[in-house]
Amino acid sequence: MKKMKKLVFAFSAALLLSSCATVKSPLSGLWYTNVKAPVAVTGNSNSTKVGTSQATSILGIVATGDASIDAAAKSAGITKIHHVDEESTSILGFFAQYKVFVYGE
Amino acid sequence: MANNGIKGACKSTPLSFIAIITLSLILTSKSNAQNISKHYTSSLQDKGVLYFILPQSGFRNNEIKSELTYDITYLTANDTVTLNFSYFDKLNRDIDSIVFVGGNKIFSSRVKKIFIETKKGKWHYRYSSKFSFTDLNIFLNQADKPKIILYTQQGAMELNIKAKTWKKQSAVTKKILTLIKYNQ
Repeated sequence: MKKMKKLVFAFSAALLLSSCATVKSPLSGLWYTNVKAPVAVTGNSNSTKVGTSQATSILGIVATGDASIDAAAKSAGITKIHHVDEESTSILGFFAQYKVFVYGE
Repeated sequence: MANNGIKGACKSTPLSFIAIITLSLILTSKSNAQNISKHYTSSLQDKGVLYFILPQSGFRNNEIKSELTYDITYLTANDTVTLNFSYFDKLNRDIDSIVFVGGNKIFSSRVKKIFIETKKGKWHYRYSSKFSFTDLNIFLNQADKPKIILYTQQGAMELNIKAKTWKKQSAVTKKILTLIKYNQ
């Protein structure tokens, strides 16, 4: 029982001392966010390939991933970028995810 | 009468109010299990619409602890879909081809290397393959749980998926492919 109390205390302390999981987004909701937005457009025409990359944050304590344009382009073998979009998701500040979509050929 | 109802609602504790909202959010998310919008993107191009089905995971080989994730790109002007996949393994591999086995149907494709790098102590193999749009539809409509076989210079590797995971995954992909067909 004491162990359980300690665990609950540690978890609560971690929650209180850390900030919420937030994500870069043009609009954000307190409870739930799922927003797609533009990042960049180039002068290259046409897309035949799509690549994606992402980074994730849990409770604002741990955040990992590579959400770079380079990683997204590389994942699909894109050498000429047409445009780049982003998608931001967060749930109650517990979970946040940032995705980048690169279109090109 | 109506006022009494409102007064009653206001008297309820904030905790129960939060509980009701949380419960309704959970129920809403459950009812939208087939919500496909977060699983794909579409972009209008000169030659048609470019669809992208986001990376799906679940295929694993538990013996050698390797796993595979794949994504699908399809331009409506073409007959073929591009299936890019990432394969994570501790050992060095030289992948030649990828084979999808579902029931009595077998679909194979030679693969083209995109890159190979190391990630978290494992090799990250990124390859591209092509399948016909029709074959992909047939494969997804197989009742049996499928498996993926990777043929490498070092031998064949079998990757399996849990039935429950495949049921969800194939349902989402089938719905997206139906949407693509409707828009063609």
